[in-house]
Amino acid sequence: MPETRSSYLEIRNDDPIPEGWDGFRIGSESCSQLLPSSENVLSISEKRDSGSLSLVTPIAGPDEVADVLSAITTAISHGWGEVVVNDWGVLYEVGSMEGIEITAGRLLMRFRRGPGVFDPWDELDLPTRRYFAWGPLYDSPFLAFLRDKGVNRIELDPPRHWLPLPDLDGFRFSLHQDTRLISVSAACPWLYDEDKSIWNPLANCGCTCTVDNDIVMTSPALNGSLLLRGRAILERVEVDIAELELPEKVDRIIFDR
Amino acid sequence: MRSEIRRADDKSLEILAPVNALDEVTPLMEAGAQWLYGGVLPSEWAHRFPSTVLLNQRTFASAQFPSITQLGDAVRKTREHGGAFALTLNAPFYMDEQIPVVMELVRWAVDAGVGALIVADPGLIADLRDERVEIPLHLSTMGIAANPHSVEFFADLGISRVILPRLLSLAQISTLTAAMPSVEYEAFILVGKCPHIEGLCTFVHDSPDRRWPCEWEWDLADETGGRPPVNVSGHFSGIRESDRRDGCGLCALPALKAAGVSTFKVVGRGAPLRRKLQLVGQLSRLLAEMPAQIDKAWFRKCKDSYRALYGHLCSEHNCYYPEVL
Repeated sequence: MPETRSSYLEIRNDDPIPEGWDGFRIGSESCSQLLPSSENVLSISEKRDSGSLSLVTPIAGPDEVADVLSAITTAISHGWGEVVVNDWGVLYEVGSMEGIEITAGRLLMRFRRGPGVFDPWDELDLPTRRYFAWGPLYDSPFLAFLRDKGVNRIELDPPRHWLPLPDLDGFRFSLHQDTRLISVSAACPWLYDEDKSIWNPLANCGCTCTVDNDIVMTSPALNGSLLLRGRAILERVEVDIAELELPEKVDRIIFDR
Repeated sequence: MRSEIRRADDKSLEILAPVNALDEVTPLMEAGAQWLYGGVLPSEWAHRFPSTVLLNQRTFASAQFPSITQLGDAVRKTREHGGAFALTLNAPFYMDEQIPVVMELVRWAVDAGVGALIVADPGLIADLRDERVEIPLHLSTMGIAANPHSVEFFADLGISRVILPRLLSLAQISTLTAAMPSVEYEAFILVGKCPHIEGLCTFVHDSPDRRWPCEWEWDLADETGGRPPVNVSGHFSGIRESDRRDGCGLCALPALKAAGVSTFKVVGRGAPLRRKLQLVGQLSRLLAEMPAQIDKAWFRKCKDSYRALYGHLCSEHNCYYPEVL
């Protein structure tokens, strides 16, 4: 890995801050309950000796978006360096905030990562391969739109079949090393109450998904397995960064907790 | 260009029904639909890309109109019935080499009298605004406006109607619509209860039997091989044991109307016409009889309607708004 490429570690709100990392990511792409509170932001800011701090923000319902915006404001006031945005409304608001790098998260980018269509990959023509590898990065109007909204960094995850990234101006890139994002559950599985046959309201959430291990999902129809982490469905990937043709613009690698 | 904004309280409630063939138009309009929606794959697209490369959010040919000519005839016939046609251009993104085909279809739609485009790609939406394309834009659930800031964001781009993402509860819908009353809202009401947030879901829907990955039988274990939490198991068991095609939000109609939702969407492009007519007819009858508030009689009527449509009792896993149950 070039020395110019930094390593960011995902941590939870109450985790100790380990040494040896260039930065830390706190929050969630898919759940507002996992956002750091103001106290968490303060505590993390004080605990950190070195390394940048990134706030990862989720898609947000109408009763959640105020908390997301509040967390962003607090993070900015404590000198956090980056906010990862996964909601159009949050992007709308954060675009006018100063003093923070705005990153388009994986949910905004909508790369096609779900398993099912890619084999035989070799029989697909180049445009189709590009579509499944980096499709949104070939959507110039969308990229212009992101730039116009103040986005200057994009998060990537490794496609099932690697292709070189297109040559794009105006963006830096962060690459998730450990997972690709497949889907997000509409209702949180951890909130399901089997006795009452209903999902509990988000307000009753005890964030037990952070206490439990990830759930491994296997199916005879899938050659492999998926991971359920809170509401997010991910696929674990083992990527040897050194073997990828990463341009210098991919200057940040994200590691799972 | 912005369409004329109308609210639920100054017009009658409307049904938006799926269509994929010319001969479906008249029966669907006569069954009670005011809007029809559908899509087409121009030959230039169909010859260049597999069906999983999306022009619109359907991956099987039977969900599309067979030709632009037939689609144009369907648009004309819908208008003759006093209705409007919404064309689906709701892929989450279009690559540069695909955009000319999309824009040609947009220009065709304007000339053909299409009533609205259902769109999702913010880049496309921004381009349509910048080029002053004179056709109303409806934001697909693939675009995801889940809070008032998102609705405002898309309204600034020219969206006149938001199709509400399936993840929102009734209370959240009320909050959202109250905060942004200048936009029209449309809600799913029958069929297609997707267990995931469809605008964020990248599962490829390409199996010939139309059994999508969310419906597969998933074995769950925690990473140590142990049993998953009972609530997680229950969530997935419910998805497996229910049928996403049996989705329903009928009981919630009065609450949705009160929240300002003006259009109710039936899912099912590619379904047999007979099935579409059952769904639209039942919804049309219920809208005509709908009370101002949900009461026991309404609840019973909707439960009976559900059983008549789907042949079994409803459950929380089929319910769009399970907090009503």
